[in-house]
This record gives sequence, structure tokens and C-alpha cells, in this order.
Amino acid sequence: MTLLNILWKSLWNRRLTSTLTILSIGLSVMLLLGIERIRAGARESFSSTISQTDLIVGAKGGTIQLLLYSVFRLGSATANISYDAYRALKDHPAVKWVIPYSLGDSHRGFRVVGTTDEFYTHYRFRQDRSVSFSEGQAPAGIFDVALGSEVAEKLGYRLGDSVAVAHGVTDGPAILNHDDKPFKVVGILNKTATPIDRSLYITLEGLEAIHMDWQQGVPPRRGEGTPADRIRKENVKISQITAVLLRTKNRLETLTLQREINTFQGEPLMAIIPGVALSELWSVVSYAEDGLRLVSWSVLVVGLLAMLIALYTSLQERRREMAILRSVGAGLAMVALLLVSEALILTVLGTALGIALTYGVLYAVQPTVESNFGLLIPLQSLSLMEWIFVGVILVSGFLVGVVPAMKAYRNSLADGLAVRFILPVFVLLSSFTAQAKELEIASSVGWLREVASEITCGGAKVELLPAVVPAGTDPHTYQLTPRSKMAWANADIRLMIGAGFESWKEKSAGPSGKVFYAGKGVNLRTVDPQSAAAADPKSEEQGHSHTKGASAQDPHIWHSPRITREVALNMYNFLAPRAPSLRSEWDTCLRNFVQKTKKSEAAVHSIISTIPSSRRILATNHDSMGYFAEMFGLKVIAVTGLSSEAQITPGQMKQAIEAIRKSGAPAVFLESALPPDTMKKVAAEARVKLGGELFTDGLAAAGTPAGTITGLWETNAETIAKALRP
Amino acid sequence: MTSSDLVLSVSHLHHSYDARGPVLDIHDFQLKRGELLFLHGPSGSGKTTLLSLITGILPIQKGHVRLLGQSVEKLSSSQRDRLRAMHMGYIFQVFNLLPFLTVRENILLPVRMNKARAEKIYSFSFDEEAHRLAEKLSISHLLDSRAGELSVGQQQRVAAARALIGNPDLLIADEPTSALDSDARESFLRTLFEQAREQNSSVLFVSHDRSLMPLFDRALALGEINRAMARVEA
Repeated sequence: MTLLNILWKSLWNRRLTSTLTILSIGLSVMLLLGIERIRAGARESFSSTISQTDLIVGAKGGTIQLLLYSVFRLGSATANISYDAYRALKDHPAVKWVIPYSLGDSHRGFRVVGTTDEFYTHYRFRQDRSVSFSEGQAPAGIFDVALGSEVAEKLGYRLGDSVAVAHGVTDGPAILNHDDKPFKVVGILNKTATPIDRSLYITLEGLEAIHMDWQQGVPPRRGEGTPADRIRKENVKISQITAVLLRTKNRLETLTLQREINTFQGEPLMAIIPGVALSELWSVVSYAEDGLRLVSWSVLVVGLLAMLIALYTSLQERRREMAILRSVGAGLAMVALLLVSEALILTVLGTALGIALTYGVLYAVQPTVESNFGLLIPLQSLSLMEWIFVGVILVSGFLVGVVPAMKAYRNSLADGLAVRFILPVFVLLSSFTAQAKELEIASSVGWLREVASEITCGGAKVELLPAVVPAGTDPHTYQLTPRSKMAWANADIRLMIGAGFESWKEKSAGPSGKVFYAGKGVNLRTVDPQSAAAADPKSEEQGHSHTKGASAQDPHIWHSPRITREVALNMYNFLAPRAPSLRSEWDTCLRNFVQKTKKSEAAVHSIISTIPSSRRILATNHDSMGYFAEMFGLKVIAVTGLSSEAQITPGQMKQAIEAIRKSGAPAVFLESALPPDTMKKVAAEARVKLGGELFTDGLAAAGTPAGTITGLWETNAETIAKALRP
Repeated sequence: MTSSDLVLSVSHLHHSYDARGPVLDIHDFQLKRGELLFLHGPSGSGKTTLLSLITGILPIQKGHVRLLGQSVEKLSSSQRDRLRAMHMGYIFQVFNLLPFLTVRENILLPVRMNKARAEKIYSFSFDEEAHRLAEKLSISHLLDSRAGELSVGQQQRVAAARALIGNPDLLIADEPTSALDSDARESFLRTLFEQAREQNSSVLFVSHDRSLMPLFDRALALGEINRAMARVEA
């Protein structure tokens, strides 16, 4: 079982996504090659509109013009050539065959071409295809007409129908109709997907006949012209034609013949080589080709991006596999090789599929496209351009495999494969298999973690993650670290204070799972910021969200034994349904905890009762001890409002100092998580002593007296009583 | 391989991921040959970091880890890979197996990946060795099943067989029993230990389930030996 074997089985295991990836690459490749083929096909079809004709001869004028009216049935000739010149060409020793064209009339927008049988026998397009009839035969009689397939189809003519030829080229009803000499449809041509389909074909004599008796472009008056039934083919004398297509006996003589014609003595003639004129014309419309080429490249770019995304996603899925392989001793090189090979395999298969699809689709639609659009898409092997496209795709596939391989390499060196690779995947996957792992509970602050720990009997059957905000840090200004963010986002249950307390939460990515808000369902203290010592509207705006609004809710609920009990009960009701088997066990622990808080509450009461009631004034930096004060009968004076984030203005300082002086407070207190400078200044100005440090913003570090909930209450009570007692 | 009977010794090991201070700060701890050590640690106590350092998946920032007399901190990344492949068996908490391979193929992964490990097997052929271990762990009837079709308990036994193949000196198990019920837990451990004893492999077993503690030779609380913990825990 080699590495390739593992790779193969892994791909097979993910056959649906692998197939989709291959398919998406294949479709991109197909689109790219398809457009490239259409571009090449358009060019090819254009240049093979006429073939085997070595020279086109017309009156002197523009070469493109001659090409347009003789081959594409566009525009018209400014002059004709004499029938004698035609005869001279026909009898020229170097000429194999000639096809005369006499142009100038039309029928409902379609050109009428006067020609001879040579047209039906010698005319070639698309290398070696000749004109053939789907119905009837070539016109033989003077008033016979054969229709191009498009003419017959659009106008709905059938054999035997009568057609009137209009003089000149008009789209709609003709101004001058040769209706005295109607033509009879004797043949309908097969579709050629060239301009041949858009013409009517009559004999040279027929064209001459309808113009019989005309004087200087003006038709004879009604009744004066020769009646149609009296005209015989033999009697019609052809005087001029418009163009001649010719083929030389020896193609090497083409240039000599062309020169000879261009310098023809009798009249001003011009001969053009169709291939040369066609490429000249093509260069005129080459912006269309450039447009298609631009589309090709855009498709390549979009296709590559789609492919990169598909490959990258499938590689991301494989991180767990990589972790397992690493654990059984696979080196980084092996893991990288695996990733790169997978990308390459998918790309190669996708490209092969794309090429196969291209040929398959082309083979299927080629006839339809050719007959409907006149586009001949060649079914040949890949062109150089197409090989370049395929090369670019394969190299990109390789590169996209290198990216995650590099990432795997760098991760394991810098951050550790185990941590980045194994853990998130485990956490993610295990959330699907509930019995495989215990409930993972994250808490925003230590107080919530302890409540959770108490009611889950020490957290033995659940995973209690460390609190997000570390002990001794100011929770108001706390910023999530990447690691705590990950743990927080992946937990099954998140315990929070709410009431806008966890402002860092809003900055972390929207986590899934359940959130318990301790502030919900308990009676929160509301503080009117106007009456609080902190009344600077500016600082409120910038400050913590719990100071916003007309009356703010006080989040510092951990100072209240009563609310702590309520939260414990609510949390129990929240957690118990998620672990039904543990309910009775937890029930006992909840009761124990409630008893514990009641005992502690009584202890705090007795500590506070040692302070004379006139001296029970609690002056702190920010208004965090409200619940405690309310419960144990203390009066609060805070320099700032609810949030420690707000900046203290000199006005607030003055106000607070005055209030402290007036109240007769014996001491002011420092807060553990805040810098002591402000309160030191206040104490000096108000001429009161510093009463020590209170743990206002949550539990202190584990192992210290204020590191537990009841310890926090009792420690704070002791500090207060010690400072305020006379 | 070494004159000392110490398989693993860790001293003054520090590791930190960011400026928030170390997640690991271990002064000293050792594992003797054949010893079954229970390392108790709640999540967040740094156990994944410790295991990543011992297995050489993470490079050592500061301190010493000696594995079978080799200083891991002095080895290059690929040398650590080789050391892990040759001398260690690892059992994860869950999802140990490549689900698209058969049980036999999963068990044989370490010996297929590493020649030196392959030379340490007891039997004449890989197949025979896979069968021998599967028999010991009562999964021989599953050898040709696809790993993805197995129950969690069966998967952990396959993982154990894979960790044991090629006679590794050190078996590391990271909460391998947390997905098992208590009956399966004990029988799994007894089988694992029996095999480990037979091969004279040391076992470093990490879990937060203290009820398993009595089954081991010695127990250590990671929270106690990791001095970074006191600072992290709130």
C-alpha cells in the first residue's frame, strides 16, 4: 500500500466531491477549448467560402469590392466586362475552367445570378464540396430559375412556382419588375452554409432576355418589348457579364495569368486571388476575432479561479487525514507530496475530461452548427494555442496544490500541526457525534465559570473551558486573543453576562451554538447616567455599550449573592435539558451552592454591621459596586459611571471630590483592575484616606482569597469594613 | 537502545503561542521503560501542547525533551518525524482512522510508512502481525472491514493495534477512552496495558477522568507540574 494507493483510496472515498471538482475543471476546459474552436472555425469557414478558384476576374476597381460582390453577394459592380473578354479567358490555354457571373438584378432582397452550367459542375467551397440539387435540376431553358436553399426556405417557393425578377437590387417590392418575363422554378439547391444559399440562379441568356429592348436602363413601354414566348435562347446575344471565376490548368501559372489579365489590352480588367483577398478582408473584420480571443482568455481566468476554489476546498477537507498520517510518522515532505499529487491528479483528469467533452460536443453539434450558422468547426487535434491553454491549466493545478502544502509546512513549524490541524477538526466533527464528546462550556468571565462548575458538580462530566477574560483584567476593555476566540467560537455553550457587558464578543466571528445570558431573567439595576457622577455625554458615546441610552443597565451582578443564586437556578434550567442523565446529580449540587451563597451572604452582613451606619459610604472609581451596596445598605459615590472605559473629565473629578467631602465618607477605594492614579488624586484632594483595593471587575486569580465567588464577597466586605470603621 | 531505563525525560520545558505568556512551564518529569503513567489534566492545562512537543510535531522553544537518550530539541523537523515514526504509537481521542482504508490497512500504516519500524515487528509478514495484534484486541473478525463502518469502541481498538505495531517504545494516548462507556473503557485499557507490558512499551496516558487512575503505575496532575497553569486558570 503505497502513498499513491492511499491517495487513490482517499479520492475514491470522496468520489462525489472529487467528481464535482473534476467536472468543474472539465467544464472550464471545455468552455475554453470550445470558444477557441469556434474562433478557429469562424476563420476557417470564412476562408473556405470559396475554394479551387484560382482567380476572380472583374472590371477594374477595388479588390475587396470584387470579392464582396462576386463571392459574398454584397454591394455591386461599378462596371462590367465584355463577353469577348470572357471568351478570351475561356479559350486561354492556361485556363482549366471558367464560371461567368452576371449580376445586378434581384428578387425580394436576394441576388439573381446569371451563370452557366460550369457553375454547377466546377464551383467548389469548403475544399471540395460542389453545388448540388435537393430538388429539380439546373436551369436549362431561358426562363428557368434555380433557388438557393435559403431563398426557397424563406420565401416558401416550390418547383414550378413563378418568380418575377426585379431590376436592380432592392429589399422589398421592386420599383421595376421584369414581370412581363416571369421565371419558373426548376431546381432548389442543397444547403451550403455559404452565400450561395442566398441567391437565385438563372442562365446568362435569361438575364440578357429580361433586359431585351431596354434603352439606356429604361425598359420598353408596355406592349412594345419582345413578348417572352417569342424569345429563344439561341437568339439571345450576350454582350457583357460581371465577373468570371477561373481555375488554371497548372496552379503555378496563376500569377502569370493574373498579371496578364491585369494588363489586358482590350479593356480594363482586374484579377484577384481569392485567398489573398479573403485574408485582406478578414483583417478588416479582425476586431471580431480579437474579441473572441479576449473571451477565450477571460474564460481561462474564470475557469482557473473556479478550479482553484474547487481544489482548495477539497484540500482543506483533508486536514484530518494529514494529521493522522503525521501521527503514524509521515514527514512533512510526504504530506506535501500528497497534497500536490492530489491537485495534479484532479487537474489532469479534469483537463482530460474537458478535452473529451469538447470533442464529444463538437462531434454532436458540428452538423447543426454548420447548417445553421455556416460555421465549420474543425474536428482536428489540438492546436498550439490549445496546447498552451492546457499547459497553463496544468501548471495552475500544480501551483494550487503547492499552496496548502506550503501552508501545512509552515503551520507545523510555527503553530503546530496538532493544534491547528487536529483540534479544530475534532471540535468540529465531534459536534456532530454528540455522544462522542462531553458538552463544552465556555464562559466569558471567571464568575460564570465558577457558577457553572458549582452546578455541574465540579464540571466532572462536562468540559469547562477557562474563562475568556483572564482574572485581574479589566473586562470592559478586554480584547480577544486568537486562541480564546477559537475556543469561544467552537464551544457548545457560551455563558455570558449580557446587557452589553462583553463588548469583545461583537468583534469575534458569529459563533454557532447556544448562549446563556446571566443578565436575562434577573432584576438588573438601572442607572440614570444623568444622576450618576459620570455625566459627560461625550464619554458615554465613546464608552462601553452598557453606558449607552437614557438609563443604563448595571452588569456587575456578581457582587450580589441574591442574583448569583438566581443566575445559578437559571443556568441549571438551561444546562440540565442538555444533559438529562446528569439532572439529579446537578440538582443536589445546585442546592449545595445555594446554601453556600446564603451562608456567605450572612457572613457579609455581619461584617458590614460592624460599620456605624453613618459611615457606610462606598466611594470608588467607577460605579461597579451598586448591587453590593444595595444589598448590604451602603451608599455609593463613583467618579465615573458604569464603565471604566470612560475618560474622567476635570469636571467629574471636582464633582466627585465635593460629593465625598460633603458625605463625610471616611475613605475611598481602589479597584483591582484599574490604575490607582485617579483615586489617589481624589483621596488627596478630598483629604480622606485610601481604603484599600476592591475586586470590582470579577474574581481575582485562582488560589487567592478573592479567587472564588464567596471569597470575593467576603474579601471586599472585609476591606470595606476595615477602612470605614472608626 | 539506551543504557538508561528512562524512555522520556522532560526538563525546564517552556512553550508559548503568543505574548500572553507560556502555556507550558514544566520543571521536570520522567517516564521509565514499561511504566504506565497517568497524566491528569483538564482541557486548557496544556496537554495537547505537551504531547505535540514530545512527539516532535511542534518544535521545542525552550527546555529539554530526551526521548530514548536523544535530545529532541536538537533534531530537525524530519529527524523528529523519523523518531516519531520509529519509536512512538499515538492514539487520539476520536477519529484515529482513515475511514476509507480497511482495518488491516489502518493497522499497518506505521510499518508501511517507516522501514525501521517495519523491521521491529514480531511476525514474519505484515499480514501475520496485523492478525496477531487484531486477535489480541479482539478485532480479528473486522480486519477486512472498512474502518469507517466500525463503532467508536472498535475504532479505538484498531487505533490501539496501530499504535502497538512495530513494537514502539512509547505509547501516547490522548483521552482515548472518553468516547467509550465505562465497561468498554476498562476492558480497552486492560487489553492495551497487557500488550504494552508484553512489548515492554511505556504508556503516557492523558485524561481528565480520574476514575481510571487506579489502573496505572503512577499518576501525575498536569495542573501541578505545569507551572504556567496557575497563571492561566481564572
